[in-house]
Amino acid sequence: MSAGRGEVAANRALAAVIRGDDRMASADRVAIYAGMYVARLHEVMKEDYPATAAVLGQSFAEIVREYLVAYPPKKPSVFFAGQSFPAFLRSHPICRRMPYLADLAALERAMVEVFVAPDVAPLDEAALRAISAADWPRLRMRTVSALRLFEVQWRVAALLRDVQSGRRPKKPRRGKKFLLVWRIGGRVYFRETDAAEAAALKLLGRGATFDRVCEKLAGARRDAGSVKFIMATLRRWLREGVIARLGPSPARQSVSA
Amino acid sequence: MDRSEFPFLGFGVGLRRPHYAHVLASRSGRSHRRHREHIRGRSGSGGGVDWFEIISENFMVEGGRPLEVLDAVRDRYPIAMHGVSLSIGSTDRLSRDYLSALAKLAHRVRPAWISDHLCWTGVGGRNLHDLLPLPFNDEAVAHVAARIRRVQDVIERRIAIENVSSYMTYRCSTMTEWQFLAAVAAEADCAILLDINNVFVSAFNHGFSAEEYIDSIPPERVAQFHLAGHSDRGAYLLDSHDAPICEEVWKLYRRAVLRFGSVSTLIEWDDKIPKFEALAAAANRARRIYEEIRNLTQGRSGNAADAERRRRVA
Repeated sequence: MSAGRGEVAANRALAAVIRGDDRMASADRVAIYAGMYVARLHEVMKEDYPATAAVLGQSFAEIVREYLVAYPPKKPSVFFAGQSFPAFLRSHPICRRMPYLADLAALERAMVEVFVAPDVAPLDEAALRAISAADWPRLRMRTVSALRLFEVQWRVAALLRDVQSGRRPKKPRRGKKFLLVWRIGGRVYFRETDAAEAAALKLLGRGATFDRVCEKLAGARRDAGSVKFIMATLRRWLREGVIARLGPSPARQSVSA
Repeated sequence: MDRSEFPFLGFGVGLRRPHYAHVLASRSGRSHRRHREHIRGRSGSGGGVDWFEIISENFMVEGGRPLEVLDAVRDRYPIAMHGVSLSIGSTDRLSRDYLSALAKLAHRVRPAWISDHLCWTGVGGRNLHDLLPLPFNDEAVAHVAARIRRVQDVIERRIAIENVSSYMTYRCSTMTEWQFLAAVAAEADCAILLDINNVFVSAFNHGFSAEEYIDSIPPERVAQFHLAGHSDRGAYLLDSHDAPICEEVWKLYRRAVLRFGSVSTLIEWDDKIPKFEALAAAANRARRIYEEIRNLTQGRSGNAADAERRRRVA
């Protein structure tokens, strides 16, 4: 009863400001905007979180509605509308049934952000070879700007690949991993990585010297295999384009004085 | 107002993601220098489109594919920037961040012009991502015009403001929508982007005459036309941009060309986006209407023909 009275009062308040007519009452006219607000943002969220939407099915619309109440858009671009969705899902009751959902949404959000991150050309092997061996240990490299690295508790990369390939998504396995998301040209890539590589990439991202990055990669290993592993990882980074191109005078600009 | 700040670009379409590959692969693009000649010397209906309009906010990003595509398209076609989030009618302060992002994008794109909507899109720090109508009264005219002048000062150029489709009006309105639009444009000394479909949709939704609206807009302010499709929701028309332009809107467009003369025309399509050819076909239909009307005054210079048209409809 009180809800009904509230609605009547709200309609009266609207009618005092908005014109109604025989065709449509003022509340019905306002309702067009209310409906479009939800519909438009639902579309935006579906575009940003296609795998999360596929996994949630029909509940996605209702969860988006709850999200919009908790995190109403505050920025002019719809790019930011879904920014807090992974955090929202993490504390949502749905995560008791689907505990991997927040990790999946975090992966999809990273892909959206990386897609429009600043352009930084990747380093190629020839440029690296031009640096003298003596400068290598104190060489400071950086990761490209279009890169995100974060920890997940569930193996959601496989789930996302299932959705992208049109396969029926399977519930992911539990397993602590790091996810690396990056862009080359206009394409966004992602893969899992382990704690050692993630720590090395984080150091790289902060502009640490090459010898420190190598130490982190080698971890506790101090055998001949560690050099092989470091070289293989470095080659992989170069192939994947995750290291940023050095400045015009690499030796002078990138090695600390 | 000097309309030369808003040159006649011909007939364009909105640049949308599904068409990126087609536009980049198309050979119909031409250098800017040749473009003006192309428009002036056009003898019949061409196959391609003459220019593109972008949604400014979609390109206010740091990098990546959208800007890469934009640069490539910009090398071949004139571009106009059309915003959806300036929120010129809001009572919130104009966003400095937004204006600086707009200026930065304009510096990169060097657009033919910049436009946004005569509406508000949020209040109290919240953004509704919708184009909400304003009350039509003197207080709103003064409020909005002052804000447009401030925007024009910041970005150092005149902007065009577009009439929006609406589904509600306010009791405190004291004038018609067209009187409001004309008063704001005069007070702010800005241009008008006249959306013909929006005139039609709002005319239906509020029961006014679309023809009277068109006939009341000052010709010297009109810098651009928009044409789009809408959907019939029974009690009202929705400006959905998801359908072909209806015959009544084409009829209204013909009336607008007669009144306003050589005005750059753009086809908008934002949902259920068809193949590029469908948009190009709509742009070419607009071109044929324009040329048919231009032939009425054949033999005169462009400006004299435009003046003649205005006399005919006055």
